[in-house]
Amino acid sequence: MENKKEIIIMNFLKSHWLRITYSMILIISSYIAYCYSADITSDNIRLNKFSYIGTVATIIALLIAIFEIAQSIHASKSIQKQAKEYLSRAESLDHASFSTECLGNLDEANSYINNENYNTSLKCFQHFRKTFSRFSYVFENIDELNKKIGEIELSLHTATQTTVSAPLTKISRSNIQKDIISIKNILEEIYSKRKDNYVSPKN
Amino acid sequence: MFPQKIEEFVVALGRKTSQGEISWLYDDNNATVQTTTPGINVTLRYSFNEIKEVGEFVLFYRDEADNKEYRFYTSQEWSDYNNARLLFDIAQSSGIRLPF
Repeated sequence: MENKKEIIIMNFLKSHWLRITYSMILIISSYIAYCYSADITSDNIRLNKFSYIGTVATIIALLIAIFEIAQSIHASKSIQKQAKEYLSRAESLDHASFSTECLGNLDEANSYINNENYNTSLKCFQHFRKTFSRFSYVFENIDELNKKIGEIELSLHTATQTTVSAPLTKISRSNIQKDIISIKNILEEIYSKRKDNYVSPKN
Repeated sequence: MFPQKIEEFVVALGRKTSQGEISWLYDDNNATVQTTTPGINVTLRYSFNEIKEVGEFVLFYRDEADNKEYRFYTSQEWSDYNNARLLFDIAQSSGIRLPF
């Protein structure tokens, strides 16, 4: 029980030692000021000198306080900037992995169209769409792109209704493939233009 | 749905092609077969209707005498679709060169 009390007191001292120290200094200073008050207030020249020193010390303290605040604002700003930089690097890494996944899905969707396996192709394309929506905001012409993606998905949906006796014509099939490849090109283009280093520096 | 007359004509075309009397040119890109035999000008075009989600055939017949083009349509919803499909397959295979 006593041990616990001691620990609490020690913790209090540890976290508040600075306040305790300056409280002590304040008490000692007040005591000294009280002891010498009669000597200083009795003589006008001494009192003026003391007042002057006190005013200068107050101005210096004020200036120090103002500049310390400015310094801490500057430090927190640079910390914020660095944090932002790290966050954007992490975001770039995410986008790179999403885009690789998307390209893989599109390749698979295309190869299943070659085998006229439209059901699996549609699944691959829907998987691509899900991943794409997670980082689609980086694309400038997103409305146009979304429209095209919607059209491709609809074509694949229709293609799943084809049968051996009523297949999709070669030209419709190759049109879907061309559209998928054009989406792939857009993805590749946006990532080949970027020169980001996806590996974070050591410092 | 093809009219009775055209349906019979389609069947006859298939039979005559099998016998080697009529030859066709197959365009795989546009899913079309067209006769190359002089005097007979027939084109059969296949497409997949993406709205109805059925296969369909359009048969074009050009009459050289009166210089008119006639157009007949059928889809998977009608029984004569199978005849058109069969003619399409026969016509496709008419010009094919198999290795043995």
